[in-house]
Amino acid sequence: MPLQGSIGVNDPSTSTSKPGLLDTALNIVDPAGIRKQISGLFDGGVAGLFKKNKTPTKNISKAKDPKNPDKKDWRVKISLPTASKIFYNDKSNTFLNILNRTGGVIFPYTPSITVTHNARYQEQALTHSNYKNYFYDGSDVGPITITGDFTVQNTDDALYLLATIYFFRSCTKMFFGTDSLAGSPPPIVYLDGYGDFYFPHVSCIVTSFSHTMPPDCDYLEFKYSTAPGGAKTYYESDGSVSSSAQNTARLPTTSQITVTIQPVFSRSNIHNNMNLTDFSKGQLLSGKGGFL
Amino acid sequence: MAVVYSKSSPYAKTNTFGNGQFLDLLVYPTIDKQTDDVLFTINSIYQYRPDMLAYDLYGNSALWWVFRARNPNTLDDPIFDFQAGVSIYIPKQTTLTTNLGI
Repeated sequence: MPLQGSIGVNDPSTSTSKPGLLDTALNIVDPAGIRKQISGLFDGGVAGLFKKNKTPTKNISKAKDPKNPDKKDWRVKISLPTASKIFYNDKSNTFLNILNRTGGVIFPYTPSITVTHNARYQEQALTHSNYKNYFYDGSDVGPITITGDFTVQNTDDALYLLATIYFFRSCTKMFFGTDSLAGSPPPIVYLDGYGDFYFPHVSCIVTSFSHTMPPDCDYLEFKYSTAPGGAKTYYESDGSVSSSAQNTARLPTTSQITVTIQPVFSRSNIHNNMNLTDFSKGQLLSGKGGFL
Repeated sequence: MAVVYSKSSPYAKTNTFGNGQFLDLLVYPTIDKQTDDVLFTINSIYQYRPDMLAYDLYGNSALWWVFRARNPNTLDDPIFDFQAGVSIYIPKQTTLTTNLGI
């Protein structure tokens, strides 16, 4: 009687010799079949006849919310305007192009975020009064501080972190000198995260960026190239390959990035879109001002 | 001369440099996760023997690394985390055919 694990399958360990009756009964020529039978496994890793899965097979490698497959990414992301042609949107910038995969910088681990909403009042201490009086001055949204961990386990992680660092460094500087955009200030970035309501595609400027490299972790060495199209190869006079222009760098396997961004809204946006009634209803989201 | 790794090797997708003489950091080939992958609790027969499990299931012991690639959160070390009592998902032969072309 064939073993349960070997029903209708081709086992390579048995295909070369024809077992006798006794051998088949004891199955001594098919140790793999015995092992599979004891373990309840079937060839090819399938579920087996009695474990048939009635739900259709579905690839969950790139998992999405099954109830809403078109749901937007809820991770915290800082990105450039999609129409811009700078930094990672510049096709000639192969160094930052890795950020295009995620459409900006995504914090791989849940970051710590502080958002402050201020209402400013001028206090007036009146003469012969037991209490101070407060006169409304104005309101504002304070700087948003985002602190997130980045880990580097392979070259891909390292290139992403390096691109992230250079992206934020670049976002704190103006276009200058021989730049085609010379004189332009640092770019506006957009903050998204946690769905449509918490950070509704908020326009911001980067006011500070820091990268903390701890002393008590390993540093991963990796290679990268800033040349367009990847590494450049040099040739000796006899035509043999001499060396590659790939640069070597090291980054910590775990490090922390802190970026401070200040929400900014254009005067026309404020004038045309902002009103407190709609804001309190949660209606001034992405596409309608993105107000905080 | 550049070394070419077989499709069943964990180094098949790993970059090389120095004119193909040196391996870069290991990049595992992707093994897709399917909803009907069998959840298997490793027993004492297969403890520390992913090669034997790969041989029994796929007829190729060189595929020992696919269990680690399918279960990266469970198996950090492909051999020494392959211990009795640990539950892992078993990639199907059809998945390996699709992903690795074998």
